[in-house]
Amino acid sequence: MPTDRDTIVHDALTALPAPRAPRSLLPRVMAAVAQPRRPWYERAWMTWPVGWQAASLMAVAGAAWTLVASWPALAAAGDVASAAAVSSAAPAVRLMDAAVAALSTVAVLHRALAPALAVAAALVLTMSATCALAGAALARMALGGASRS
Amino acid sequence: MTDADAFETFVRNYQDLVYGLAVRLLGNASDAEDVAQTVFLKAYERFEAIGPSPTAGGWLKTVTTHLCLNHLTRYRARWRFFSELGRVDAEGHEEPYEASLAADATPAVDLETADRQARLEASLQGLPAHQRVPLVLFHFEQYSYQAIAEALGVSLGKVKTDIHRGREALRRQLADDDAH
Repeated sequence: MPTDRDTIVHDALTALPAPRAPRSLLPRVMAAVAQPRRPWYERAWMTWPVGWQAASLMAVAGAAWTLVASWPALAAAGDVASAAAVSSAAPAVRLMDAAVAALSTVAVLHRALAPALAVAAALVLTMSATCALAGAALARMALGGASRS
Repeated sequence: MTDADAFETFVRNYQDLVYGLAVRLLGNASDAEDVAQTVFLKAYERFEAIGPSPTAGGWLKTVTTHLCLNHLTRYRARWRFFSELGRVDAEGHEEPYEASLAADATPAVDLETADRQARLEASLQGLPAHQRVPLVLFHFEQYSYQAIAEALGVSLGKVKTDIHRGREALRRQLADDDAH
């Protein structure tokens, strides 16, 4: 049973004027409506026409059933294919052997020449540093410190 | 009249109904505008059936209520305060929420009454959602307690308690107004 106090609140609420829609609502709605709608197949599956939803479900179910039903045949075909791949891979195996042999040769040469390479590298670095210092000294003598300004 | 013109007229006729219900259920002008737009886009998709129907208003109210309840469920943790209810008009000016309520006031309407109503509307909007939503559905949409409980997925007792507490808060607001 509503009390008097409830009635007072109810009367006050129902006497309230309805809030007015903002002026921006109508342009927003009309702009959204004016945008070209994407075709059904570009939208979420849930919004597809019911017929297409049913058709797509049947297609997926059919594909799954086909996969399951033909699995033994697919497995046998896979075995045949892998056997053929092994036999046709002989040239690749030979190429791999050659690459491994070449890498081994490079490794042996590196071990033999490593000390000489280190000396050569040190010599090149020392010569480069000497040239740089000499160049700087010559520039200072020739320009008389003018570059410092 | 083209379809676009007919639909524009349709939106003009029903925008206050849809937006008014949404803003009272959501307590937030920005969210209410988003929901109202979604409602009208749904209406547009089946405008051939809804447009000329005499029950269009009922359909719009049902969809609005449904979308608002979904929105509240999704963003239950996010609270907005009445101070955020100001809205920005097409020119980018902030329009106080109370202005939309007072804007309907004709010279015949007492300014004091309009002010009182604006404060009551503000109090309604300021209620927590669990009190505001059942209160709005009960007083403005004539839902029964049972229908509200089913719509919100809560017990009948909770609906009654929440409505009672919401009413009490509004009654205090009215009493304060009367005292001043």
